[in-house]
Amino acid sequence: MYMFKYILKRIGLMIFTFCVIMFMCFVLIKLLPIPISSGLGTDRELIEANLRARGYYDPIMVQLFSYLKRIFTEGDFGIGVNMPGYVNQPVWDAFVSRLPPTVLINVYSTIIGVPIGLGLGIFAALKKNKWQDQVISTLVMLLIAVPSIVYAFLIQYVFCFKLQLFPLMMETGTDYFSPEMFVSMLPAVFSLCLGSIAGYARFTRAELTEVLTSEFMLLARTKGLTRGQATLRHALRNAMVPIFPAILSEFVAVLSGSMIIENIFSIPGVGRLYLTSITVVDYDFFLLLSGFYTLVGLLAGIIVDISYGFIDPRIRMGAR
Amino acid sequence: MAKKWQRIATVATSAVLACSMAVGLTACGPKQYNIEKRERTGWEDEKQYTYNTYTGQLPSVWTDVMTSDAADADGYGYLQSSFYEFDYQYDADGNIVPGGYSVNYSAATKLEDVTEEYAGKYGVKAEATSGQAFRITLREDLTWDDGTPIDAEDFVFTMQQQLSPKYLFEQAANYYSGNYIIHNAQNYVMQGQEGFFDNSNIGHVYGELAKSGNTYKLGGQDCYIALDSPLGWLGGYTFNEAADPAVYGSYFDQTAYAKLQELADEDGNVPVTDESLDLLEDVITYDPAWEETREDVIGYMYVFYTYPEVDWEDVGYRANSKYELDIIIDNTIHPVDANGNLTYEAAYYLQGFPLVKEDVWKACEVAPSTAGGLYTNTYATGSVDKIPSWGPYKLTDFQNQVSYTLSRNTNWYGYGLDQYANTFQTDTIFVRYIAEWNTAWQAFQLGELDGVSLDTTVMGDYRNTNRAYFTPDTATFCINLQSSNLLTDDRKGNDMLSNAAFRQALSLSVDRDDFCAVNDPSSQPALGYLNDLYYHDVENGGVYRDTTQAREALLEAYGATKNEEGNWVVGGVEYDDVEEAEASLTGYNLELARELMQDAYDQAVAAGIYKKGDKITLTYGITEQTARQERLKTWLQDAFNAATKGTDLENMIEITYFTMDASTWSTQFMDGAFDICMSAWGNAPFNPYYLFGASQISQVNRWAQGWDPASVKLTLDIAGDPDNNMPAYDDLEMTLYQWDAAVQGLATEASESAAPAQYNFSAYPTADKLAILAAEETAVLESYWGIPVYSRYTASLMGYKVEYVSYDYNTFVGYGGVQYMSYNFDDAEWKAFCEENGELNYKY
Repeated sequence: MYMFKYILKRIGLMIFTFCVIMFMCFVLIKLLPIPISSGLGTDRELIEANLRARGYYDPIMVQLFSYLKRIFTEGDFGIGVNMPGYVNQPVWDAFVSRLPPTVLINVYSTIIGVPIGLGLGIFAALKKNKWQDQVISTLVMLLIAVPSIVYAFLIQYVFCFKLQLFPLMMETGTDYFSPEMFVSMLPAVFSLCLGSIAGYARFTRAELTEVLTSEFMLLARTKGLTRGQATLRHALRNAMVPIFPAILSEFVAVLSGSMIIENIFSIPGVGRLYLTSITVVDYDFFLLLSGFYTLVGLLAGIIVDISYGFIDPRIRMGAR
Repeated sequence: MAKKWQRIATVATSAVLACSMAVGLTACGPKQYNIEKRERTGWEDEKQYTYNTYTGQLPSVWTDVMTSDAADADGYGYLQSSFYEFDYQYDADGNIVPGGYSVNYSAATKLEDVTEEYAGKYGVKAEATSGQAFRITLREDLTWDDGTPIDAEDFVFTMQQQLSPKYLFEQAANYYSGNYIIHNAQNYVMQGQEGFFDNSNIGHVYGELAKSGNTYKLGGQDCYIALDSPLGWLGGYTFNEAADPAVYGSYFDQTAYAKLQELADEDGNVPVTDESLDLLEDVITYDPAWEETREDVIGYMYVFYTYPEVDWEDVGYRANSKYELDIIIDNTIHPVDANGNLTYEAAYYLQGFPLVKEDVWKACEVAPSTAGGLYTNTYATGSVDKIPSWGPYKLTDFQNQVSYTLSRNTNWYGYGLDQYANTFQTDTIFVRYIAEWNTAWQAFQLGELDGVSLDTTVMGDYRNTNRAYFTPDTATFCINLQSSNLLTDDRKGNDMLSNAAFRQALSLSVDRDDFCAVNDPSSQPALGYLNDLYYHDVENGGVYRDTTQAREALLEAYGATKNEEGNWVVGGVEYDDVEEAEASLTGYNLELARELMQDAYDQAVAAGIYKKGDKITLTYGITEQTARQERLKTWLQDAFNAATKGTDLENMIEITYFTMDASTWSTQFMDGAFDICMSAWGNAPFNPYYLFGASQISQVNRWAQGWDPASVKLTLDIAGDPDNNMPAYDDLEMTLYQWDAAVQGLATEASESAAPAQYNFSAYPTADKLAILAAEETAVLESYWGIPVYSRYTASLMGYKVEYVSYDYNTFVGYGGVQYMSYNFDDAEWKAFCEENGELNYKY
């Protein structure tokens, strides 16, 4: 019951925070100068008439009301006006069409990165200060120090261009679960997950090393558990308390897409959309994307907080 | 022990990395291929030929009704046909004539000047005989890709949508503010629009000013005196701007103007009352030289106006019969000569009109969600079924921001015509979206792309190879300096820019050859605003830059002198040939730059706008900080430092970045938000008079907003042709604005304030027009607000698979495009070739 009330309270606060952020976004973007294209053969009077008819010159609160009314009565998030590639197209459709590649690459990256990262971390912790640990630590240090854009270029150059093991770019089409599509995504997935692997490995090693030296581990061993059992059942579970939220945060962070990785491998993801929507001042795109990322961020916060309770039963929210 | 393993691990890791690098760096040795260039076989060839290319931006909207984006045009260009089109000119042996052109019929079979038929109607004067109404006879076998026939009514329907007030498409302006003005097009699209408009556009006269209560109405409508809105009466200035002493302020009674300002609301609008009228009269009649009276007060007013309703039947675009399309325009063009032959204007002005498929259009219409809102239309966006074609190719696959595929449209009329025999060999065009050049470069080397642009990182290795070619561009990039901030005076650091000697010194510090070598190796140094793609006489191949007038314009602007023998002297060297003299110009003279810099310092200190030791901070506008921008900024900084060396301004100039907004940067620059921008004007290669006037003189587009072309007066002799009713004028003095209007033929009664109506030189002999254009160019160059630096060329590599018909760029047809493309390999052969050779070598 405490948990239920806690979740309800968090959701209520989340909605309030979301509304405040979106209100600020709406007002701030509308305060920017209205982009009016100029140049030879254009008619400013006509452009202004168009913008006026579309409500660009209405008071901001009137525009906000129209915007909300449109969303809630018609499910209409607007139409792209200045967004390259999406002029005159519903922003919702555009966003939805570009989300799958980003999500898939992110999921693949997590699926590959988490077990490898955790595995390396656990292995390094168990082999602390031995050569295996040193090799892993050196690799981790290297991977963390080098930005992912460098891996991306190296992977593309070596594995796609020179060795031709993978295509240079992501396959065209929307059959995202075909084997060809999967293979074509791998270079981007590797580019994304190398850094994550290093991060998970370092974090896991540090946490696990500390837990392994705890007194309760000694107790577990004296109770007759093998080292593996003690590590798996007690040490790892305790170590996961800070690690699991880190994985979730990483997932959410990558969900916003990596503009550079997407550019290099020609992935039609959402990475560039948000930045471009601000650059070209496309209100409807900006607001939809702001809303999405704000919501994802807020939801992730709640999920991370709740997840503590599941990982470690000793943690209970709101209990007195 | 641990340290030992750490060392081993480090060594091992280094070894792995070294191996990786070795793999990366081990390039295949130079390899040459024995590739036979094959003759073009044309569309009848049964083998499969696919042209693979890429773009950094895919089309959004596949029709010109709703867009003017270059990426969109690249896409929909394949889906449309031309009524009349440019083609190569061939000599008697069938060889292409370099620089030549011909004009062919394509989707139309006839073009007639029917002005006399419309005399007295559609705005055509009763006595008009030619140049204003044209009948385009369409082919009767025009169809959409699904076989649906196309006739003149389809074009009329489309134009009605294009100009529809329920959409207010921005592109509607193409039909009344471009090269021709379709009668009533503007009135049709703007009908029902209401609000306060500049009275110069509405045309009320002083007698219509009538008192109503305490205020006055104009023509029975509300009006106000506008202090902060652009006024056509003042050449586009606002009253506040014009009243600045640096502009026209000396003509105005500043005391009365200050009182007028006190009466203004927060938007700068002053109610028209007895008091404000008296004050305004005092302001504008203060100096008799301003030549205004109380009756001129209406030039400073905005008045409420509602555009009246216009019947579509009154618009000059109609179907005369099922296959005859009539267009009636307010200006004059000459797409057919006296013998009924097509001129270049047919392919230039009347190449095509927008066309949409009616049933798809109607299905894509989206009603406004609010009353009074605008309709939108999703036609030609998103999916293939909404993107029909009536051109040589049709869209068969489109994934937004990924790729599109165009396949042969077998219903296209052209495949049955002799004139297209042995052309259009390409069966399929596959265009991939690739944002990162490096990815495109690797794909090209693997044979996945048939062409690639050259980046500066590989330019040195490939620019002189067999497969490299360079595409010129009409755009001439200039270092633009801003003067608008001088009006607001909000940044003291760059007040030096107001000093002409200072700007000239900056101009002389630019070594254009070095600039291009460092910053844009494929481009060419430029000294003038119009490069050699601009034709002043298209019919006879007359290139403006090659004329004596244009050469002398540059010589004069860059300090060359003409001696008593009539020879030009450049840098102490005498030339009896103007072409050689011009070729010797560099525009780079550090010695003179330093002298001018010292002069500028002395003048600025004397004028109190500069104190010794102050930094002169010039903000340089960029959208994002890239390696290229950094290189460019460093180059400019070095050049400007060199110009100050040994002067009292040594190292005092400091260039800093200003991050400008990508969509509104031009407005920001014109408003004076930053001081320097690299930008270019281009296009309109057959109308240099228009391009120059519109980009360098017009108040609307001119970068240097604080500089007034009205203050520059030119005195020219106009020879005219008295026998043909073109009188001669000796020592005719007019402002730059007026000369520009006169040479473009814009000096109508409606714009009498801008240029005397009697001076219309648009039809005058070429020598006169060239002399005017050249004098204008010299005058603008000598203002030193825009310093031409280079003409853009794009360097590219062509893959071994395909060939252009000619690698000599032709202004009219480029390299012949897909129509004339030939193939050295069909798809199967190319695949085998690539598999055999792997990474392809283009270094020879």
